Amino acid sequence: MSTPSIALIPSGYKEGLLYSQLPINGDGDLDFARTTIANRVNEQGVNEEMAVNMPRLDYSEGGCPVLLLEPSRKNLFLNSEVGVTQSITVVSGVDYAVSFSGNGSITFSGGASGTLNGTGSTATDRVSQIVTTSSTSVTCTISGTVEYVNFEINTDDSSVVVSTSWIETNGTIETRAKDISTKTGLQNYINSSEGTFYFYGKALADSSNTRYISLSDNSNNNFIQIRISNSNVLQVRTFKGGGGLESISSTSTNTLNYYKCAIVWDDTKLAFFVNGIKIQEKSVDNSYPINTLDTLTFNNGFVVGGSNYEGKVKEFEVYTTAYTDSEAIDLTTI
Amino acid sequence: MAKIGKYEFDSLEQANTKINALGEEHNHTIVKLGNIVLEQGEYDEEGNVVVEPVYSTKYSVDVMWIGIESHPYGWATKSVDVDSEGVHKFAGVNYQDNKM
Repeated sequence: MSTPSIALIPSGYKEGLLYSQLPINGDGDLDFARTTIANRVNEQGVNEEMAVNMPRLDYSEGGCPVLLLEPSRKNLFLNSEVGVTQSITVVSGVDYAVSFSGNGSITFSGGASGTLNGTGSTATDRVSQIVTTSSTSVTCTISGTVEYVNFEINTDDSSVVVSTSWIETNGTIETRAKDISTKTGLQNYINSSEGTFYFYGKALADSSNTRYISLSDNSNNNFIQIRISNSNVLQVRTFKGGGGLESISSTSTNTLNYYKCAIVWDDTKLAFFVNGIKIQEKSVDNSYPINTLDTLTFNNGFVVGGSNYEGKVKEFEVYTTAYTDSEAIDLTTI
Repeated sequence: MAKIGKYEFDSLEQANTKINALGEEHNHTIVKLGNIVLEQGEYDEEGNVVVEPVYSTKYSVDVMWIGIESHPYGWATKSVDVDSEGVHKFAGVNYQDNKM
């Protein structure tokens, strides 16, 4: 196996930057932006506030950290560090995600019903539930220890399908902005004519939003994308010279579990490998003119703010050669 | 550079018209707050309403604008200036210090 030209296992960071392991000169470090503060579970297993534009290396699953990429969310639960009983004004008929840490419980009444019971006192013992509202007010009755509470919804008041990291509130509703990561100027590290793009991570949730990781020319004329479709199918999509869309789908991959995938391309083929299995190879010329692909983004690669990847990232690598089948299978075997 | 604006529209539909006119190619964070509560309601132990809350007749939206220094076309007339943080804030970013 060859050495990747770009390799990133989330480990080092500073404001606005996530360090790559390769290249060693820093050319592959990812730019990072989030316009608000946010929380993560740190290596001690406790919630920690991260400053504006600071990447979040999340330890909530234990073991090695992952890069956490979340959408914008607003938390309606006031004074959320230590939960107290309160009534919350909501939009009727919408799904909210409620989550907390602690051994206590939250009982919903008024515009919702049911009880969410805690399972433990640490930040990693977080429990969550989707609450569908039936009127414009929900009362949350707190019993026992309930900490780091979210009663969250998308910023446009549309339904959510999964809870996200804790959003601290005091006397007002608070919004955490989305995480954005991109890198341009990579033409010396992406061989447009042939290569291998490897990704190891998972999605935050099944969602009706399409989510992307892209190598591109920062336009919609040329790109290689890993996509989770709006029906939650893992796909590779390529587009060259403004035409000739090619696509391969891995319908059996559950993206809620960590998966390893690799896209292999050259002037004779486009191939997609997932978890040690060759999904499909297409006999097409998928070679791009030299220096075409120069941008790596955790979105669709051509629309600012478009279709951000929402998930956890363990690793990604770019190789300047097209891997053989056996190499790609070795690379992606879980 | 992020700037924060607070806006009051006549209705959700009017707010949506302005939001949709921004297109999709932006990284602004747009937060719909709806008809905010001016006077809190009262509820019994079962969560039933005893005294209805009083809502604003205006539809409120907060926006964290990225990369622009003034209100987009059509937004300035809906802008409101609030003495405090208001009923909503962007986590860790002070409205008073960053208002549009």
